[in-house]
Amino acid sequence: MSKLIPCYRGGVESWECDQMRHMNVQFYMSKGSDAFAHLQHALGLSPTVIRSTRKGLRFKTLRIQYKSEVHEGTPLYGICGIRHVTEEGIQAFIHIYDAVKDRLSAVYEFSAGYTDYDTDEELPLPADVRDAAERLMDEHPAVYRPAPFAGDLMPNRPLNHMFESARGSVDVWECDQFDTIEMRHIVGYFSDAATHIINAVGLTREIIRNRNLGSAALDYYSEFHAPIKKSAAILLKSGLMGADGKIFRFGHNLIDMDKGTIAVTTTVIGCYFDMTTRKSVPLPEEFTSFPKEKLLKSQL
Amino acid sequence: MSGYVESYRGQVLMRECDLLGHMNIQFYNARISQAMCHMFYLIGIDPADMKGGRRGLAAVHQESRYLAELRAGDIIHMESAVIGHSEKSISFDHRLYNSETGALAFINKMTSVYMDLERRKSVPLSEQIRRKITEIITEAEDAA
Repeated sequence: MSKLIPCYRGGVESWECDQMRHMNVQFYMSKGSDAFAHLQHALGLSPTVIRSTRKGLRFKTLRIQYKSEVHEGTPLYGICGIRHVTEEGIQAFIHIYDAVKDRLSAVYEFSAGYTDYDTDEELPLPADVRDAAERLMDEHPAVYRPAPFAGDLMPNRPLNHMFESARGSVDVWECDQFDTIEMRHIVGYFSDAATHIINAVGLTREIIRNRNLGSAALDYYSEFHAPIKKSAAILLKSGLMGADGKIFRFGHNLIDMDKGTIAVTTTVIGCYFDMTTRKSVPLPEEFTSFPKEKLLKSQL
Repeated sequence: MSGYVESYRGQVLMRECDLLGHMNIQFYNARISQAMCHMFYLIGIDPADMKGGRRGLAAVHQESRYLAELRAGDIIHMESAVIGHSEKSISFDHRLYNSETGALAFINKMTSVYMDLERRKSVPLSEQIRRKITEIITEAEDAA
């Protein structure tokens, strides 16, 4: 019997699409968060249990691979499964499919730990949750699994030549019922940073538009060091790690300014594409001619 | 239920809850909007057709019943069915459930007209859509 769990169904709304005319990464994350809630329920962490214990799972690491773009009106569905269970938590995945083409649109591979949402203390999995996770555990050999994230990862420390790419504070309406920022809004910061990154290499949106180019994220890898709470002051610092051929790599440190610590470290792999053919193209020369000494990879 | 398909699955967000501590009515309709992505496809309206500005369905009438409140963090899913049609319109029944308890939280009966998206006028359903509806329609009495 399949141990896959139905975890999401919905569609792409017009207001979830960005200037690239496809669904923005933050809405992939919001749909992933919906799916994560159903996964928790399958493990016995129902909304009632989470509400009463004020404990549940929280992402520790999250990789999102964007396999194919989706556009407004596209119906989507999602499945998830547990790969491994440890004392500290689970390793699991969520797949979001384009229902029209029955094609994989995004893959989320993650680890999650059991956490007290008030104290943020990480706890061992409760026995009943662990039992449920073990019953659902499967290698899922027939289900797509991405190869390990290749190349350099952004370290959890400041590097030279990183620049400010987004700044804000966490609004009440960006938080869940435990006053913690929703995952969608964390990814939203990375999305906001995209234009600043373009500027940092000497491009503008107008130049990009005139060249009929768009940019797309292909792969995200994030490590969550600490939750970000309501009203926190947030600063995102970013830097170009590398750019070669058709692929660029950026590093982000999302800093909780209230605590003066890095809350999230993310590595982003992306590409440019022709807005008409929707096919990837070689990187603009502004990327490939970016001074080598300013690439973060020289410090890794 | 026979004739019903899962059309939405997600959760209630904190920001969707009002001063009464439950999901505000506007977000029930947001779930119907999500569900309709699937219902459009089910009856043969491709997203590419709508995007190309040719044909789509526009709601002209809704009747809602709120049966149980939903709170932040609740997991929910919707089941939907085609329950009727006329020359230019299709009627749907949407049922939103609390996925944890199985309780029916919301019922919505909705009629939408088939619309020429360039002329902005209702038009007769295409033969392809009529055929599809004939395959999947659920009698009104079954829809309760």
